[in-house]
Amino acid sequence: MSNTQAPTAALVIRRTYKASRSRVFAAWTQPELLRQWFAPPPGWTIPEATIDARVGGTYRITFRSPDGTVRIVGGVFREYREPERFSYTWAWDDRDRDAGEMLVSVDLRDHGDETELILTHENFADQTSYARHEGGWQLSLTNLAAIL
Amino acid sequence: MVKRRPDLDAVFSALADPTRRRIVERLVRGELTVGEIAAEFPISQPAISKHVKILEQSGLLTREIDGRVHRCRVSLAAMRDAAHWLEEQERFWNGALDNLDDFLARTSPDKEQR
Repeated sequence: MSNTQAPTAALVIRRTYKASRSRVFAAWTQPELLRQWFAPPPGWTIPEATIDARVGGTYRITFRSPDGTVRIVGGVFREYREPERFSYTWAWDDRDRDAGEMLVSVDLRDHGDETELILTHENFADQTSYARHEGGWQLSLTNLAAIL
Repeated sequence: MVKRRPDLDAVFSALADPTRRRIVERLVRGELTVGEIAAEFPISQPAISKHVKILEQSGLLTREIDGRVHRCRVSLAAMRDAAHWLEEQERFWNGALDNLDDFLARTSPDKEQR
């Protein structure tokens, strides 16, 4: 009997953009474009980004805070289907602060002149289990808050 | 092998099971013995004991043993750790995805024509 693997917990965020899939896909996978938007907190920048966009290719993104703190995230592409989907492993260099290797998937759905983006961030406990648990269970602050 | 934060992994993995989530939801409303939990779920007591053990190992549940009675309660600290982790990820991605919206609008190829 194979061991019963629990589905991984996943954070799922959906957004719709007024742009074609190919533009959204390029914004994620071309380093010079990604550098222009990917650093979320105000004042943070991305001094360096390398993305070898293909299955098995690696990426590495360096974030820099206003006070000079540097944090690096990187991983390996697991799936790459331009312009509809990619997934990559996601691990911060500072492992004391963050859980180790996670999986981030980006799905792009074509709705005419809009693109729906579905981002899935999984905290998967077993590195070989992710493919078998498409979907996993959705985790959100609202349903966790309901528990709390 | 990647070194992982064991507590958080154990918490998410424990919460990945719907029965265990329901046990946690139930315990949030008040402590119960293992027998009382078993009485509320349509599965056997040994199966409930196994779920309770997994929750206990994750740190989500604490058990107080009084003779033969095992009283279970939820550890709010472990729940808060999980919520905090989730909040950080959500904040990060919501920020990035907002930025992407601005970026796409700023670099739109048909911006000039409209």
